[in-house]
Amino acid sequence: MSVEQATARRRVFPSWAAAATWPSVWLFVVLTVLGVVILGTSFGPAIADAPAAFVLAVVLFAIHGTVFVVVIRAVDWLEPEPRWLLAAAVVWGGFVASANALRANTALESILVKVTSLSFVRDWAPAIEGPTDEEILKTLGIVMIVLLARRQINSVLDGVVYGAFVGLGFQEVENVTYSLNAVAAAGTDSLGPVLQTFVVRGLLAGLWSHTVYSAIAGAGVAYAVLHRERGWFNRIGVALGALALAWLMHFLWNSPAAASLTDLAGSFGTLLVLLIKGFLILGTFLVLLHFFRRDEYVGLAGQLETLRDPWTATPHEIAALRGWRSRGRARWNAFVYAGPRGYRRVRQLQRAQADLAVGMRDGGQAGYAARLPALQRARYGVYQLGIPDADALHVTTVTGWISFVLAFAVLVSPLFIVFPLALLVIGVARARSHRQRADPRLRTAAVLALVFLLAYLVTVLARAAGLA
Amino acid sequence: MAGASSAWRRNLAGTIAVAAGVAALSLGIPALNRAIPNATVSTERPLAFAENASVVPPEGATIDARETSPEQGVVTMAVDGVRYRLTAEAFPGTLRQLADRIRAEVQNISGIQGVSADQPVTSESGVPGLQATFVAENRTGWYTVYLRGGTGVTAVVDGTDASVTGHRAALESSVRTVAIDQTA
Repeated sequence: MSVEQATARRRVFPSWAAAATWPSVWLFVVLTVLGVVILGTSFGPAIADAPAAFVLAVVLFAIHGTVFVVVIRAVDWLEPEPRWLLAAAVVWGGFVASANALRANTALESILVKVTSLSFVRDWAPAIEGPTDEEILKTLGIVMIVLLARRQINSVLDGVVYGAFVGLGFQEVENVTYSLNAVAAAGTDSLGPVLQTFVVRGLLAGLWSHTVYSAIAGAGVAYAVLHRERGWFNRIGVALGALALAWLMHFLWNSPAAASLTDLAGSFGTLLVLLIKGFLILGTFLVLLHFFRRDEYVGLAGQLETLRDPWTATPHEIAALRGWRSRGRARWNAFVYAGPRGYRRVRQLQRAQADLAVGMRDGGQAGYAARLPALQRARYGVYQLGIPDADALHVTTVTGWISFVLAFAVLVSPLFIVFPLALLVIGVARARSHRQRADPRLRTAAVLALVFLLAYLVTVLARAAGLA
Repeated sequence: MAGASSAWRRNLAGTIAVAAGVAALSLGIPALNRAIPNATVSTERPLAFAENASVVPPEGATIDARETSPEQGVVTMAVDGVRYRLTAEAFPGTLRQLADRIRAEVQNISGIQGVSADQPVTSESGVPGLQATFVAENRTGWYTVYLRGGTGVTAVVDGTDASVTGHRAALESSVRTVAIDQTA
C-alpha cells in the first residue's frame, strides 16, 4: 500500500461518480425522498396550522440533538467517523426509519385491535409496536451504513457510533412530531405544548431513548461485520442478540411495567418508575460502552507502544489518549503551563497521535509514513512551548473540592458564580507562577457553575416571556 | 476487476435485503392488516375505549381498527354501513362548550344541511349529556356529548338514511350505555 492509498483509505468514495455506481447509494437516496414525502404528507397540515410551534420545536430539538452529537463525537474521538456518513445515519433515522415506522406502527396497532382487546392495546401497544417496527428499521439503517462504507467499520465502537446517530435522527424527528401532535391536541398554534414535550421527551426521557437502543444494535452489526473469522451462526447470533437487547430496552421503557407503583405513589411514583427504568437502560449501555471503548483504545494504543518512540508518544501521552477526561487533563496541564496556545497544541498532538495509530492499524508502514509528518509538526509545536511530555497527571487539592461544592451554590443564587471563577483564576495564576500543576476540579467547577448560570438565565427569560 | 465486481454483487445483495426489510415493515404490515377482517365485538359487556370510559356496543358492530386508537381514547365501530365513533378526552370546560365544539365540527363538514337544537339526555349510568341530530343530502345521524369529572365523551353516529333508520334503536341504546368512571 502506498502513502497515497493509505491517506485515501479514510475517504468513503473517491468521487460522486464512483458513489453513483453502488446500488446502496441509490436505495438510500430513494428511501430518503420517500421518507420525506411520507412525513410531509402526514405532518404538512399540522405544520401549516402551527408554524410558530413547529419552528420552536425544530430549534429546541436541534439544540438538544447538538448536545448528543458533542457527546457521541467525544466517545468517537480516537477514530472519528466521516461527517457525511454520520449525517447519512441521522438522515436514515430521521426520515427513512421514522416515516416507515409511522406506517408500520399504525398498521400494527390496527392488527392488535383486531386480534386482541382494546384495553390490551391501550396498555401494551406502545411496548409492542415501537420496539418491533422502529428497532428493526433503525438497525436496517446501520446495515445501510455498512453497505455505503464497509471500510469505516473498524471496531465495535464504530457500530455503536453509527447506531447512536441513526437513533438520534429518529429521536429528534419523533420529538418534533410529538410536539406537533401536542399542539394539535391543544387546538392552537401555542408554544406551551412544545415546551412540555421538550421537558418530558427531551429532558426526562431523552437520555435513555432511541440513541441508546440503536447504539447497542449497532454494536451487534459491527461485530458481525468485523469478526469474519467466526462462523455465520455466531456473527448473526450476536447481531440478533444485540437487536433483541435494544428491543428489550425499548419494550421496558414503553411498557406499563411497575404502573401499580405509579398508582400507589402518585406523581412521585411516576418519576421513580421513570428513573428506575431509565437508569437500568442507561446503566446497561454504559457498562457495554466501557468495554467497547477499552477495546478500541487497546487496539490503537498497542500500535503506538510498538514504536517505543517518545518523540511520537511517551507512555504518559499514550495513557492520556484513553478517554475524554484524561485527554482533557493533559490539555488542562498544558493550559496551566502555557495558556490557550498550550491547550491547542496538545490537542493537535493528541489528534496526530490517534491518527497515526489508526493509520498504522489500517495501512501498516504506509499508514505510519502518511501520518508521521502531521505528528512531527504537532510534536514540534508542543516542544517549542517547553512541554516535553503532554501527560494527564493531576493533583487533588482542598481548594479544588471547595470550588466544586461552590459551583452547586449557583443553583441557590447566581451570585455564587464569582467564587468558582475567582478560584479558577487564582488557582491557575498560582500554579503557573510556581511551575506546578493545578487541580482540574477548578476548571470543572467553573464550567459547571457557568452551565447552572445559563440554566438560571434561560428560566428567567422563559418566565419573562410567559412560557414557563 | 473481479474483486470489484464481487464487491458490487455483495452490495447489490445487501441493498436488496435492506429494501426487502423496509418493504416488509412499511408495506407488508399494512397489507397484513388489510387482510385481517375487523372483529365483531361483544354486546354482552362494556367495551372500555379509554382508561375511564366505556360503552356497550350495538348488535352486529365491528371495530374499524384503522380509525381506532385506544391510546387516544378513540373507537370507531361499523354497524352495516353506519359509522359509530366515540372519543373520550380530558375536557376542562362545560357540557355546553363541549356540545358547541362538536356542533361546529359537524357544521364544517361539507354537505351538512342542518343541525337540530341540543336536547338534554342522561346515560343509563346517570351521566348528563346533550344530543342533536344532523341531516345532509345523502346522510344523516346524531351526536351525543357527555361530561363528568373533567372527562368528555363524544359519540357520533352517521350513515345513509336507510341504514341509520334500520339500526337507530340499537345505536341509541348503545349511546345511552356510555359510562365515565371518575375513580380511574
